[in-house]
Amino acid sequence: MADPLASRHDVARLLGRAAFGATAADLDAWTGKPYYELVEHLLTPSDLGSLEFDDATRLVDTAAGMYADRENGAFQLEQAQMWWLERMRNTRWPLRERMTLLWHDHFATAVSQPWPDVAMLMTQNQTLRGHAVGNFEELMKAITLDPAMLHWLDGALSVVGASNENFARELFELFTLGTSPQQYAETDIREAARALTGWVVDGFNQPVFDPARHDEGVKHVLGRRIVNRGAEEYLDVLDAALAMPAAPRFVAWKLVQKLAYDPGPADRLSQPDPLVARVGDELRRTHWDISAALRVLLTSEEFRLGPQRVVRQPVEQVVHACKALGVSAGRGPVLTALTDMGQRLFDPPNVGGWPTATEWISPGTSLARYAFSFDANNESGSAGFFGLFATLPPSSDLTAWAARLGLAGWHPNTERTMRTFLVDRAAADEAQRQAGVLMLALNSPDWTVM
Amino acid sequence: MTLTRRRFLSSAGGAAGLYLLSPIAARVGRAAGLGVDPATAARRRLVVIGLGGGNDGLNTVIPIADVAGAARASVYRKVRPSIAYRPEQTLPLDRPGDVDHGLGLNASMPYVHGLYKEGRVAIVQGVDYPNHSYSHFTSTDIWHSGEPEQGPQSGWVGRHLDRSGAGEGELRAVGVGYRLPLLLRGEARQGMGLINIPATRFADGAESDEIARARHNALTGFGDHPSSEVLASSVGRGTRATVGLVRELEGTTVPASTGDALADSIITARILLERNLGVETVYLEHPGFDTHTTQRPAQEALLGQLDRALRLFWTGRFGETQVLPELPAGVADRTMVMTISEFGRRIGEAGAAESAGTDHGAASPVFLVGPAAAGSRLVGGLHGEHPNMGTPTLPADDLMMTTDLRRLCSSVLTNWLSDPDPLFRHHAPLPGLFR
Repeated sequence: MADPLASRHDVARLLGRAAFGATAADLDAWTGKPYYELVEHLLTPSDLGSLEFDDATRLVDTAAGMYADRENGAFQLEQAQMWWLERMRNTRWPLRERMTLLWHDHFATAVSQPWPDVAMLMTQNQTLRGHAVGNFEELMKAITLDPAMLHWLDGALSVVGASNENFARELFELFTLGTSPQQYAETDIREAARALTGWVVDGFNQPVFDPARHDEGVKHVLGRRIVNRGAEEYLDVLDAALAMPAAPRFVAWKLVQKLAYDPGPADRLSQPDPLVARVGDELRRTHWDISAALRVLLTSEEFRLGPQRVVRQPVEQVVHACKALGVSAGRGPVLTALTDMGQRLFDPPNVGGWPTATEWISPGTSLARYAFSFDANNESGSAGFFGLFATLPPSSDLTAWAARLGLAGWHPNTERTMRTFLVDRAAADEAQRQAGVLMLALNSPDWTVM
Repeated sequence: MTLTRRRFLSSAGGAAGLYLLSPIAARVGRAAGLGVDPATAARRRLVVIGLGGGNDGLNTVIPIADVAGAARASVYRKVRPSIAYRPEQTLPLDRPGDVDHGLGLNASMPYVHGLYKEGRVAIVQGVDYPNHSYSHFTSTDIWHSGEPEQGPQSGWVGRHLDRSGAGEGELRAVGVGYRLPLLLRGEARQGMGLINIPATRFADGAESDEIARARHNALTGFGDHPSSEVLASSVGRGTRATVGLVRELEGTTVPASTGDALADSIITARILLERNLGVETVYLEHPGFDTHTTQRPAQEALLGQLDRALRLFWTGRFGETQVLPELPAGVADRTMVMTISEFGRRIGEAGAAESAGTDHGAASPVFLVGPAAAGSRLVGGLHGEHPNMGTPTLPADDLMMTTDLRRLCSSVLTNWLSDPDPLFRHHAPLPGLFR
């Protein structure tokens, strides 16, 4: 297939789903350029200097030092959330940050257990970022021994003779195989739990293998006989899971669901959605190369041109708004808005991660989005409107509003809704009319559904 | 193949869609509290509390003595060396007339125990479904849908909304929380989700009502988004329904937060049930029961919260504070509270002694708490058989079903809500649970 040239709509959709949204500058820079070139730029930005890595490492190291003190857990959690939100907004590699969020959702680990070791979660965050567009098998190895995960799903408390199944169950159900259809039996979970015993977290938040806690007996996991290999044995469990034919399709299903559209009644093994099948085949062919899978996904016709769409999570909407408007995402009012919308970073509701698709559509999220669109939680306590009156487009220039917010244009019904408002408020002062248009824009289906 | 959460959701985003019917929006402008039709007002009410994570039934309704043919307490103490309760640490379930005197209630539930002695609490034992799933998500879906095999992607309360009460709006069933639970989703109708009443308003800062009204009116325009664009149209109609909901609840005053999430949800439930809005079913989530480790303190805290919340619901008292008046007779006489949990936990404990917990299990008890009125239909006491626990030499690994979940759903629908579900036509209501 020839490399198509990116339309303004292509740029808005691709960045809207995979990069926390476009800015006006992105739309101008990429419209008319080859679409695949934009995808490559997202996957491996050519102008990414060493600076970003250094900055990230330095910030996290500084943070980790601060967070050693558990007395101020709630404060530290807010600092960590603000740090990550601002990073999502201003990173030069937004796709990697988007994928870090996707893996945080997939391996959903919350701060509540152990409360409130924020340093441990920040370490996990760096681990997820390090593998975000790397290799899924390596990511699985890292997350299995991740200290926050060892606490969250009780691996650190699992011991020979009284093994704990929590991690083993989610390893199969939520991380690698799914339940549609079920690929494993309860005995596989019990046996895998035995094989994973022995890992604990030491006083420096490092995973350590304690042979005395490890079950040395023979186990049978997913048809594979696993003999005692001590600290290496977890690799055999992961290998058994990832070798199942369902595994790449399950991971592909998750990528499509979070980045493109809900692939539907996923009998993910026998009747996969065609795009899920292709992305899964690519994961299998490349031995779990996430970048390669994303390339197939993002360049597919289904992604670029298909009628199916995705509901953006609150974090994506809020970060995009801050990015397009040029205001910081690392602020208390943004955290308040996200709390009210039901998406606090480092605090997913359970190990299944955050809601998907229409689960995000509720009065609660609508009203929180409304408050955010006025910056209503800002420090002054009144509708703050991001302090941007002077720099926003005239209320009546709806084309300029779309560009300013990184959208290719408005749906006719949205445009009609905005025009009706402007007629209704013809006598109001311009700042009020601008505030109204911005509110309608950030609450429109065009903004929420990408 | 099992019904999965994902499968259900894809359907909810499909042709049926959310907010397909939006009578609330149609009622916008009508004076709030004008009243609902008498048929709705006369219906019984149901409050369902989801004990999320899988409540350990054995440490809730606790074996304290062996009974003929079942060495339950012996097995219990043997396989739970660190987390078993001694008999004197429990509240005995020995109402006059109870056949089984070998069980005690967790001591964190003194209020419920008092109601039990009064005959207002029914404990249905061993509730589960065939081919039990140990997955939180799959099993929660089945408890909400009442359908363990592949079947309708709807909840058993949602289907009740479908069958009765046309045109009365989403407020007939309200889910308190961020997600609308499957339980309240029908094939054609949906309940409404709200986080709490104080948050169900527009944050308009200090601006005038006139400006605010103009903006809220404008938002309803998104409701006209063409339905061919399924998700965008759902967002648009959701926004319009939200405007309607805010207007319905305008002017409602709410006590200050208790600082306890479940108690706050109970306050929300009470206000919804007491205002004349037509609310019939409320679902509340009480998460945290996934006690793989350090179970005893964790579960005691959670059951204690549940007990205090139930006391708050009926008496209005929370701790030493009278947060609300006593539940008004008109509501109290026709309201039943039901707890559900996606599964119980395994018989034996897991983990080292100092941090022992339990892994996902199968059958568990369900609590039904009925009205105080003499005319209450609910029959208090123990119902159903306690599941077999094996013998001290050969303990069972898990508690197997003695009461089919579908018969329990069938009982509640038929005998409490007076609306049998054809889906449960082969699952007769449990005898003796309601009179």
